[in-house]
Amino acid sequence: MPEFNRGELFRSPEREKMQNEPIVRFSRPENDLETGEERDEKYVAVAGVELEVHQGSDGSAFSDKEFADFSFDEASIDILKRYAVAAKLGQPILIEGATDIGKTKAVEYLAHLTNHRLFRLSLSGQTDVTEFIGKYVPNTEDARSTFERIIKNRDKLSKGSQAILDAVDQEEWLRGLTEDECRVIAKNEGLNFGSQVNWVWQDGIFPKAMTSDGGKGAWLYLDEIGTAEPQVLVRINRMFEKVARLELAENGNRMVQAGPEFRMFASTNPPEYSGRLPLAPDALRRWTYQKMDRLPIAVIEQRLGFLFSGEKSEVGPTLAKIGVLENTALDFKQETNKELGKVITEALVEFYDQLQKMVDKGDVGKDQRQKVGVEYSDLERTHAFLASFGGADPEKMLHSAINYYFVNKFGAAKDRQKVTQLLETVFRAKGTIAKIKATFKAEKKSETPELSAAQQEAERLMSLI
Amino acid sequence: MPISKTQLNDFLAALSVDRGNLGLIVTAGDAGALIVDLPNGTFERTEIGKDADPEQTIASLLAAAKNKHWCRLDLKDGELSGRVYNQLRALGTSGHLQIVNPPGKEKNMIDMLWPAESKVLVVISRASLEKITVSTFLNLFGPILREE
Repeated sequence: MPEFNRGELFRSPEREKMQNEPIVRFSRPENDLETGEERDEKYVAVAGVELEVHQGSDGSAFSDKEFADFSFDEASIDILKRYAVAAKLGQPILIEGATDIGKTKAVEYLAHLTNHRLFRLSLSGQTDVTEFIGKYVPNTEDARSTFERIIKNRDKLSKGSQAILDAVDQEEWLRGLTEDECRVIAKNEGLNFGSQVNWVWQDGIFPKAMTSDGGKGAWLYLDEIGTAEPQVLVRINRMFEKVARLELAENGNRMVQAGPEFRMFASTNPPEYSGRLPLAPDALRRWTYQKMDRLPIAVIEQRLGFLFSGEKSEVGPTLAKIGVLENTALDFKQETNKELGKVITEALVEFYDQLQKMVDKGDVGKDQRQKVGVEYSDLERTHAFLASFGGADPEKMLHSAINYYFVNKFGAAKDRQKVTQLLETVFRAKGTIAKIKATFKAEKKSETPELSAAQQEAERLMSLI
Repeated sequence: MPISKTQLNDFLAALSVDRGNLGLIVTAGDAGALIVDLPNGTFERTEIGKDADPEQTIASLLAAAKNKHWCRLDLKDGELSGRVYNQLRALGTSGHLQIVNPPGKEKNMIDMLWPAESKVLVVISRASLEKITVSTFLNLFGPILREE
């Protein structure tokens, strides 16, 4: 009798495809938790990372045609996968990398694949708080234009109006004008709009993205975040909480709460570019920071080859190199997983402690202009990663998580190598791999799911062969 | 040396097929004085600068997209508002106009693919270019023509 491999028998065609194709679209019938009715959920898997497709009316503004020449080379798939993991886990991600490696195109493509509206803000030193937060404006175009023209020429304003603007500037938080302040300035400047004109609040890009499509939330992409004034980043601190929030001090302290589909992505060029300052550690630690190198010449050759001759690169080996993730959850709270959790905790704490010391001493990241820290939040992110992806192969996924949250903070090959070596040293010293294998095997046996009648029949038939 | 007719034609030909949609001419003197015959004759034109209303620039871009015209933006000084920069950057990289709270529109957001027939020509004097503080400004553009 041939050895019966139940895992293979019940392996879905989608799962097979995910190992070999960078993008897989599929449906999965699922029961509605409230009604019990079966509904057809649409998913897309990017390098194995399964993401639900947005079903609302206000989805992607892109078309398939715009991505017809998307090059599935190593760098593109790698960036797509990093964004996909961040979207899946709801962890804001910041990719720092050279111009033209494909940071923007990849986030646009992922938003399109998952049918999410992508709100985009390219930051610069000139970015005005009203653009991303919102502002009060008179509700007629003439009045708006007059008010904004007058307010722009600050040195020509009356002393009373200047005093209001100065007071706003001196506040701890960067903010725009309240309705009362707008009204007083208009009065000071002799603007009599009459009774037909009312002041109305217009949400900026952030509140719109957070509450898009009836409150579900959209995706927000902050481009060139490294060029933003530090006060801009301080203003958005609460958007990094588990449920993103944004307080609109200008709009009567209204609290905007993001919908469940809201996600934040950001990119920046390295600080070596154009002499910009590195991000402050406090701003950086809120993001899953990913440092990417320049495009290797081989990838440039692949991309050009695709443009000039339509020659597609072979995706299979690229996927194998990048690593396809499996969406099998791992519940550490379950009794059977407690031992495994302890093993992983022990190794992670040791790795974290040693890596912190290496960073402090300058053994790694010394030549990197964007200084990075090793934070407790990286450990929390690692836990979330394993809880989502670790159920099939926790050892492999632990390596992936450490690569994603720790190794990828460093750009230089020698630094990346040192961090990887540290991990292996810790694993060896603690006997982590052997312990994972031992605890996980035991768990696998006891975790055999109950089989449906159809599955039992299939198993019975297989056993007769 | 002033820009020759051939140089200008070559530049416009390059811009007309550029996927990034944006071209830049750097003039030796006053940017507004440069005469450029844009390909389809009709075009939107507006000024950007300290005294200009950024919403006017946004309105010109919208009109150009709607009518499939070219758009000429004369950058008078080093003042490039964040709102305009955001649109130029989006046009150059994504080929989309995404305007939150567009001027004079009832809709509170416009997100549209920029038509392939339309291009944006930014004209700036050398002196004004030196005043631009947005460090990635030159990265916005595909073809660039400089008057020597």
